[in-house]
Amino acid sequence: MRALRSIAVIAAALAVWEIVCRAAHVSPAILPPPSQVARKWWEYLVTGELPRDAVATLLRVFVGFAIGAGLALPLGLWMGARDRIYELLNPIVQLLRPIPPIAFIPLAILWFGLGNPPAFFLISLGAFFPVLMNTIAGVRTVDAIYVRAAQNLGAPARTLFWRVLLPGAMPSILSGMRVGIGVAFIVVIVAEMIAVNSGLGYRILEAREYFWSDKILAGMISIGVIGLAIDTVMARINHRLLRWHRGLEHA
Amino acid sequence: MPEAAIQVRGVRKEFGGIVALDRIDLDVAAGEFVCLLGPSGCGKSTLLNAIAGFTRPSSGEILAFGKRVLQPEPARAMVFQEYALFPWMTVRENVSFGLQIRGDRGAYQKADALLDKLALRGFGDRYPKDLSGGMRQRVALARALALDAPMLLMDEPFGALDALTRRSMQDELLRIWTELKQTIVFVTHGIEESLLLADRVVVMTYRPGTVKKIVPVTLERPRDEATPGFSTALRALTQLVREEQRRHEHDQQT
Repeated sequence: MRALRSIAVIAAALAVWEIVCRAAHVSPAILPPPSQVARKWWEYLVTGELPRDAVATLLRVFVGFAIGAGLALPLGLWMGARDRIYELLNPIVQLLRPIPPIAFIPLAILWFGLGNPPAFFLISLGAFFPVLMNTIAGVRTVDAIYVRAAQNLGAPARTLFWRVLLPGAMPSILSGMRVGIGVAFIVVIVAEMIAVNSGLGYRILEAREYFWSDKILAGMISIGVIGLAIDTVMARINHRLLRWHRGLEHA
Repeated sequence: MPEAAIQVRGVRKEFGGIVALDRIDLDVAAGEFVCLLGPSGCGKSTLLNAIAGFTRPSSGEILAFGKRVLQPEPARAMVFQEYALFPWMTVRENVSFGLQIRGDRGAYQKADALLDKLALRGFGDRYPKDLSGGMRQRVALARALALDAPMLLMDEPFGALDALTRRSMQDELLRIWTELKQTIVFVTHGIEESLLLADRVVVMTYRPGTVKKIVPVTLERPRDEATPGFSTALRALTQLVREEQRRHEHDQQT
């Protein structure tokens, strides 16, 4: 029932868009009607161009995310569990964190040239801080009573870390990863507009050069659908890993 | 006289200028059931935490089985008011956690046997969030019992339970204690509860927490609230606690 209503709302919005374009004779270079976008999208799909672009983009997201999260997770656990390390490194983190990954583009190109390396750098940077901050916060906010209970049961430091601090921080770590992959997906589009000549970000910028607005929109919609799919998968993974967690959203 | 299981010697504890405990002297014999009773803010939980080894006294010392208490140990098993079950572990994993740390190969079997004993058969694979308050506290009790600790430290363990569940947990605890004869220190603000359970009730004063009076409970076990002896003891004990409660309320008004 709810799904039906969602579809009806989307269909209505598309209908309004279509009618406005036709009635007001809007130039297709400015805003093509959805029917034209759909035709273009189909063509983009069946020629194999869209699948190739999507794979290229997703690959960059996953490599960048793996690097960024792979560095942020151990560092965050370390900073979360050790007050000394936290005090030592927190000032640097706080200073670097507010700089948007986009602002690193000039440096990324100077350091890594063009192609995938600067893209990986920027994407991993985008994923790094959300995962880092959430991991630190997750470990530091594990309720002291669990630590006490574990110590009372004789848990040595290693056990305390692996079986109490890490699982206790897991809800926060996973939500950090969900945010991190979302940021990675934003950054990949920007990186592709600047540093490489494949992928969805590159394609919509290329389409602009030829005033192919239908292709720009087809690309944007594809980006939206893939972004939604990534987030849905992340939510599923969280749901699966956090069966024990009470405050779980029902995705 | 047998060696005391717990010896508290001149313990004082301050938190940022507030004296939570002062001049506490207390001996608990092996196998004895002692309740710490008093209004909130009397430091009874602080004293229990110090006996457990979670906090150090500012001065004075605590000995458990003749050895100075410096840190928490499985020999002094704690049962927390908020249960403190690990929410990411199943019931079975919670109960067997201490045994696994110890390297016990039969950890799961032992845990399951304890769950059977505490009427939790079939709940081993559930997570704590799926259980009622009473069942969670049973699991917490099972986890504390799993290591065969000679001493149980219980911090208002039944405080969050409804009256009926509390009553059945009290019976359960007495059954276990009668069988295993651990030394038990039990913090409560329930006057009736302390009379139902304890060999001796330590009444504490409100801020700073000191020992006001140690009341031996001579009532025959199993105890029954409906007997005249119980009512007389209850009235006397209530009188003592009321005085401290009034000071507490007076403090809150001013």
